[in-house]
Parts: sequence; structure tokens; C-alpha cells
Amino acid sequence: MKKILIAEDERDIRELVAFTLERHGFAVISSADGRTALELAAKEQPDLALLDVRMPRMDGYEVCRRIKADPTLTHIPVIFLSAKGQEAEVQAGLEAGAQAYIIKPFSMDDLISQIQKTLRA
Amino acid sequence: MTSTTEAATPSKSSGRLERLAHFNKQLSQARNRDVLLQVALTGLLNLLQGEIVELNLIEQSSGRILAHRVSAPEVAAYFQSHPQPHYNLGQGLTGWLVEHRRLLHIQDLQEPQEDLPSPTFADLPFRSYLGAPLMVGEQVFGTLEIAHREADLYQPTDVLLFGLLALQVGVALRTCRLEEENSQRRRSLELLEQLRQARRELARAAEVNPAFLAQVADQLEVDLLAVFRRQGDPSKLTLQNPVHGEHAAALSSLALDIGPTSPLGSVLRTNAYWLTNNLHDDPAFVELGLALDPDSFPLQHLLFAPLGPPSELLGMLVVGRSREHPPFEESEAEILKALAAEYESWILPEEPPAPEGVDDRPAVKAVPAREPETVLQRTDTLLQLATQISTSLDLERVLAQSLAVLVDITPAERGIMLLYDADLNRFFLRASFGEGPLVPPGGIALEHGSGQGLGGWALDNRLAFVVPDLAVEERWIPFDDDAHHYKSAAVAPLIANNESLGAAILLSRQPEAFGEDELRALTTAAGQVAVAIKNAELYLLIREQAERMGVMLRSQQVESSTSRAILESIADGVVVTDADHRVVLFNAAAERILGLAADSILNQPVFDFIGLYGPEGQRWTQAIRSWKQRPPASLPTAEISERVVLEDERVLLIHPAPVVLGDEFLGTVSIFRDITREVEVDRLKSEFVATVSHELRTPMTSIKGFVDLLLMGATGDLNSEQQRFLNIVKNNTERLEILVNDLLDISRIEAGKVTLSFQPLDVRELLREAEAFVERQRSETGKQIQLAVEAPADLPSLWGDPERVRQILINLVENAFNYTPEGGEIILRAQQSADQVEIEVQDNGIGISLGEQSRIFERFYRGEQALIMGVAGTGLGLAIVLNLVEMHGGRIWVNSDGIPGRGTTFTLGLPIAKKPELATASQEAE
Repeated sequence: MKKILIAEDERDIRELVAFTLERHGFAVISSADGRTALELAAKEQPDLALLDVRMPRMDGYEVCRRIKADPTLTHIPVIFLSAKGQEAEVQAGLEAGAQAYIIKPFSMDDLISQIQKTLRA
Repeated sequence: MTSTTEAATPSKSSGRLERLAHFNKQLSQARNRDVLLQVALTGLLNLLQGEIVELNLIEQSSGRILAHRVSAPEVAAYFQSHPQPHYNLGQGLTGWLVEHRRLLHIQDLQEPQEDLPSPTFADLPFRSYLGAPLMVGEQVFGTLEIAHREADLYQPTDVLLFGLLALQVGVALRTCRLEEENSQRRRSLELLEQLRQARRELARAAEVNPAFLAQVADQLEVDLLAVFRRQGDPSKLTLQNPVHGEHAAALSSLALDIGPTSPLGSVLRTNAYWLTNNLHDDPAFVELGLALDPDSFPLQHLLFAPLGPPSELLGMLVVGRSREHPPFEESEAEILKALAAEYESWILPEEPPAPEGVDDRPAVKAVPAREPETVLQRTDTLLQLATQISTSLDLERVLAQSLAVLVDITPAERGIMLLYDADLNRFFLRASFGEGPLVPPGGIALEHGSGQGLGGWALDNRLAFVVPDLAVEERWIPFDDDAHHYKSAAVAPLIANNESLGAAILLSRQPEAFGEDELRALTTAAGQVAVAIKNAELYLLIREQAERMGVMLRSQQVESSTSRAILESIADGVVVTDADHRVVLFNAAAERILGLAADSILNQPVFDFIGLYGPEGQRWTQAIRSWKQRPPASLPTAEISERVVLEDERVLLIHPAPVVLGDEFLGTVSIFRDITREVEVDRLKSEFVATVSHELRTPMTSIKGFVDLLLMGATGDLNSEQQRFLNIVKNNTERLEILVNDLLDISRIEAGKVTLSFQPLDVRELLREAEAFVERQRSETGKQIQLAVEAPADLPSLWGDPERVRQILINLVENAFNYTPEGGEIILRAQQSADQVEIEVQDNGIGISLGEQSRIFERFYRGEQALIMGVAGTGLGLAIVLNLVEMHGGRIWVNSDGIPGRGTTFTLGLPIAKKPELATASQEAE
């Protein structure tokens, strides 16, 4: 069972994503802020991380950059889930090392297919 | 000459009004005619960019034109070798102006002018010409002319200005002359007073003291003062000693025929004076039997007046001036007349008049010579009167005072003044003193006119006369009921400058009440009254003209100072330059906005400080420069604006515009607005929209996500109703999503945050994508819409941003799909048109009404039919499309006759890509 880390400060969205992923047979670990997400990533070694951009304590870009900079974590693919949809913002996410950038609101189908695609790669 | 140096570098429009006002002030301050002429000439040279200004004055007595001129240094050499010329009236353009009494503007004197004489300076290569008559009322007394060697120099504004200046100069000259005449009259009255006192001392002296004569001649500034008298032969006049003047000897041999049929006799009897300022060449003068040898009698100007009343011609008084001295003026003739009257009373007692009765003039009752003292007192009174009224400009007072004095010193019970109105051919009873009713202001119109009544006869014949018995006098027309009581009268015409003004009449209840003395007193008073009337009229005219001009000038000044005040107080920065790009106005806001002191900017070339503003300033400079070079008709009317970012990050918006009056380029006006705040507000607005959109996305994510989950059956099976309702929630969430995306898009486009990455685009590929989009729509909605694509294979590539061009096209196609009912058709058509590819998106849907077509590109505007059809939409799509098309340098327009079923056609024109290699190169450069 693949393990997915969700970092999302919005509880509703966290629950929505967790519910969907579990229904599709993933194990889910979640956090509500960036710093906790980074700790969880180190501790739990997830197969993929879904990061919000704007989060308390540490923003998603920073979390992504640190994951990619840490040799023990760098293999973890990162997908951003963000309401920030401007080109520069998307660009910043990809430059931080993310594999994909999904703009909110997104459909659950799109999310699942993007995750599966990323995991296959 | 400083003034002409200024004229050589004229700045035509700037400060012209100020200079005009200054000119006017100088004119009004110049009391001396020479100063006035100098001010007028140099002022004109300055104000109108002339090379020669000529002020020609008509000498009333001779009809000659006396030219005054100044010239710019460039042409001065010519005039130095040509002394001030004298022209004859009627010659050249000057004569034309005098005759036609209107302004003359010739753009090029070198071109043959139809119906116009050649200019008086035709031997100089002058081309531009302006001329105007100098007038007071109806009387032309000179001309003002200006010329330049450059053709087509004078613009309509110059012509207007010139007209105004000519008016000003005319009034100033006339006022000046009037004042000179008045002071001269005062001087001569003083002279007469001296004469009178001298006579008291010399009472009954056998002969006139030559020293005294010399003194009088000196006062009159004459070179000859002589008296011809009747001695022995009543039809001959001979020179009486003593005389003053070295040339008088030439006259001693003359025996002048004054018989009733002789020319001189009739001149002396019918004229108060005679003058010539061109003695030896004046045929009329020679005719008088006064041919004199120019060598022995080299005087040029001669003025003579009769002694004694016309019926009792005793002799004549002659004064003369050499050609070096100024010619005689009409006003001087009046003085001579007074002198003659004085002289007359002096010599009269020596030779009592001999009755003649040879002509048809009214018989004069012989009256016994009065006691000398009475005569003296009377003369005193008359002199006082003359002094009083010659300086008075109040016509009513002049008339009343004169009559009061006349009634007082004569046996008259009533005195009246009749003034003649030539336009109405009527006499007006303007003043009455003594008995009879009061005369209302403005007088009483009488029934008779020219040639009628005693006054009419006196005026026509220019003669004063006594009527011993009114009862048998046929010419007598009683003018009111009281007039019937009178038995005798004395009548004198009121004549000034050969103009018939009216008559003064003294009336008595006694027959034969008036004699020679009374007639003389009346005549003297009438002469003074006539001059005073003329003066009053002239002053009135001049005052009116001056006031009219004052009003014109004032309104111009008020207008100008109002505009200036408005410009100064306006919140935007205003910089005004003249035609030479010199800054003439730099208002307080401009100082504040640009952080520059007006003192350092004013009168400097505007480019000096525009230069501070980098590339935007360069474009501004180019625009301003080009306006001066281009003909004014082609000057832009559309707004030009430049955004300039200052070093301190403030943002200025600059609108430069040309100022054009008629077809003359007057300068430029540039408006500056500090839009830093507006820019900041705009930025905040975009930020706000971005934030709000972002904040909306988060809850939408939850709504959409959980609805998806429910629809997926994640919480168990749904019945069909639950399924339908959840789908409605889902659709509306999608609508919200589109709205948010559009809002974000347009706010970013308008904030200039969207940059395009251009590249060549294959039009047929774009059309295929649009086709695919319609295909998807069709399958998603199940709506049956036909689609046809018409595009030639050899279409050139477009030059555009692939994402954005796709967005434009999809938007148009989506609209066509949405607003076309089931079974409709969409045609996509592409073709080349000049340097653009035009893509038509045609449907046969609901169409757009004509009234709505101009609004559909506005933000949030949605057509009425769209609402009725219930098509979801934000009203932002076409606004975004328009913005994007403009960013591409393309065009978009709509055609629809507004009839449902006839559809709509949007045509999109986008620029063709440059040649592949160039396009690639420029793409790499970006």
C-alpha cells in the first residue's frame, strides 16, 4: 500500500483528499502545517507528498525545497495543491522541485489520475 | 535702435497681449505728437514683425500727405539715402486707403494686384503688406501701413491686431492734436489779452508800435505780420505800415482789388479766413491777384483774414511763414480771426465805415460809434467767455454761457442757438437765454432746415447780418410762440473747419436794436462757440472710440488673466510654450509635481527640462517639435499621452497638445498629472481581486470535492433525485470557478501583468483545435450544432501567443455554440487581408441587437437575448478577448443584424508572422 503525505491547513480539504485517497487504496498521513509535514516526511518516508502552498509555520515551497535538498527525502515526488493559480506561482512550485502543480478547485478524478501518473513515473 | 533689434527676433504670439497693453499705455502717455509718432511707429514694428512702418498724416489745409516712417535695420540703408518723402493724396495704396476707408491686407505685393495701385515704396522688394486708414468718426486723417520683404507673413490674427492698433493710434493722435489745439488756443487767448492791454496803454495812439508788432509776430510764430487797408480808393487795399518781417517789402507795391466782382474781394467777404500752405504753386491763390515772386517773397505758408464785416470790408490781416516753419493749421486761422477782430476794433474808430449797400445782403443799420470804454468792456467780456468755453467740453454749458454773455452785453432780450442736423436737414433749438420757455435737453426740432429762416440763410451764405425790422423780413420764421414778440435780430452762422454747425441769433423787442458792434460781438462769440461745439463733438467721438477700444482691450485682458488664473490654480501641472517652444507658463502644480521652480523654467526652451525625463521625454519632444513643422491643419486632435516614471517612482501622465488659432501655430500646452496614487489604487484593486479570487477557490475546492465524492457514491448509493441535485451544485460550482478565473484574468490583463510570448502560429491548426472544442461541447451537452471550417491551404502564419490566441478563439466559438439553438450551424472561416489573417466565427443563432453591439465588449455586459436563453456566463469573456486582441495588435469586430436566426459574425484580425527566419530570430531575442 502506497503511503501519501498530505500537508494542508484547511481541515475540510484535508479530510476530502484523505477520504478520496483512502477510498482509492492509499495509506494517508496528514499535517496542518509545513513544519510538521517536513517532520512527518522524514519520519514516515511517504511515497508521495501533496503540499498546499500557503500554510502556517512553513510554506509549501519551502517544504518542497527542503525535501528535495535532503538526500534521504529527495526521492519523494511532490505535487502541489494550491489556490494560487498564477503562472509565476506555478513556476515557483515547479522550480522548488515539484513534479506537478494542481490548481484548486480540482476534480477528484484529476487528482487521482495525477497521483497515479506521478507514482508510475 | 533697440526696438528694431527686438523686431528682428520676434516671438510672435507670446506675451503679445502684454506688449499690446504696454503699447497702449505708452500711446496714452505720449502727449507730444513727436513722441506719440515714435511710440506708434516703433511699437508697430515690434508688435507686427514689420520691416517698415509708415504713418501718413493728411494735412487738412493742403490735402498733402506727410509721411512718418521707421524701418528695421535690414532696410534702413535704403531709407537713409531717401529723405522723408511727401506724397500727394490719392497716390498709391495710401490714397486707396483714404478713399476706401478700410483695412487692406496684401499677401504679396510682387504679385500683380487687381484694382489696386502700386505701393508708394514700390521700388523696394516688400511683399507682405497691411494698411489701414486712421479715422475719427467718419473723418480719415491719415493711414498706417506696414510691410515686410517676406511674402505671406501676416496671419489673420496679425490682421486683427493691426486693425486694433490702427484704431488706437488714430484715437491717440487725434486726442493729442486736440490737446495741442486747445493749448494753442489758450496761448493765443493770452496773446489777445496782451494785445488788449497794450491797446489800453496805447489808447488812440496814431500808429502801432513796431516793437509790439514784432512781439505779436513772435507769439504767433510767424515771419510776416502785415495789414492791408483801404486807403482812399474803396476798392483797393494797400500795405499799411508798420509791418513785421523782412519780406514784407515785396508786398508794398501791391494794390489789391477788392471790388465786389474781384476774386479777392469776394473771398474776403465770404470767408472768415483764407490759407494756403503752398503759396507759389497754389493756382487758387494766384487767381486772387496775389502772384508774388518766389525770390523776393520766399514765404511758403500764408494766412489772411478780412478786417471789418463783409459789408464794410476795411482791409485784411496777413501772416506768413517761411517753408522752414510748420504750415498753418485750421486752429491758427481761428486765432488770426480773433486777432483780426481785435485789430479791427482798434482801427475802426479811425475810419468810420462808409455805407456801401451795393449788394443784396441785409441792410445794416448805421449805429453811432460807441464809447471806446464800452467797447473795451465788451471785448473783455467776450475774451473771458472765449477763455471759459474754449476749454469746456460740455456743449450745453458752452451754449448757455455764450448766450448769457451776449444777452448781457447787447440790447437783446433773448438769445438762441440753433444747431443744424445735416442728416435730418433740420435745425434744433438747442439753447435759449433770456425770455421764452426753457429748452429741454437735446433741444427742440424745428420745422425748417437748410436755406430756411434767418439761421439757414446765415449758414448758407456764411454771413452774419442784422435784421433791423423782423416785421418786414421774409426769411424770418418765428420758431415758437414767444418769437412773435421780437422786432429786430442779429444773426451769425456757427462754422468750424468749414463745417456748418448752426446759427446764433440775438432777438430784441425793439426795432433796430443791433448795430455793427453787436454784430461783431455776436460773430466773435459765434466763432468761439462753433469751435467749442466741434471740440465737444470730437471729444465725444474720441471718448466713445477710446471707450470701445478700452472695453475690447479690457475684455481681452480679463479673458487672458482669467485663463491664466484658471491655469495657475488648476490641480494638474500646466506648461504652456510659445511657437518657439519657450516656456511662457509654468503653473504652481507643475512646480510641485515636477519639483522644479518656475523661475528656472520660464522663458527657457521647453526641451531643456523635458530632457530630464528619459525616453518618454524624447517622444514628447518629438511630438512637440513636429507640430511646429507640420502645417496646422494636419495637427492632431486626438489625445497623445505619455506615462513617465520619475526617479522617486512617482508616475506622471503627460498630455501634450498643440495650440492653434485659425491656421496659426501659437504654441503648445502640456498637462501633467501625478497618477502615482491612481496607479497604486489600480494595483491594490488587482491585488484585491487576486486575493478574493484566491480565497474563493479554497471553499470551492471543498464544495466541489465533496460533491464529487457523493456523486462517486463514496457514501453509498444515491437515488436519482439526490444525483440530480448534486449535479446542479456541481454545475454551479463550475460556473463560479469560471467567473473567478475570468476575474483574475481580466484584472491581471488590465494591470499589465500578462506578458505575451509571441511566435508564429499555424492558423489551420488553431481552427482544428476550435473544431475539437466544438466536438467536445457537442458530446458533453448533446446539442446538435453543425460546424464547417473554410480555410485555404496557403494561409500565412499568425504572430501571437499560442495560449492566448487559443483562448480568444475558444471564447468566440464557445459563444457561437452557446448562443445558437439546437440544429444551428457555426462556420469558421480564415483568409488573408493585407498584413493580417482574418478569422470569422459565424453562427446563425440569436444575433446581437444593434443597440447592444457597441456594448458587448464591456466588462460584465451581457446581451438581453443571452439572459433570456439562460446561458451561463460572466460577461467578462469578450472583454478579455478584446484586451488580448489589442495586446496582439489586432482588431475584432462584430456583425449582426440583430434578427434571431440570422446570427452573428465575429471577425478577428491578427497580424501575420514575419518571415520564418526573422520570426525565429526575434523569438530568440525575446
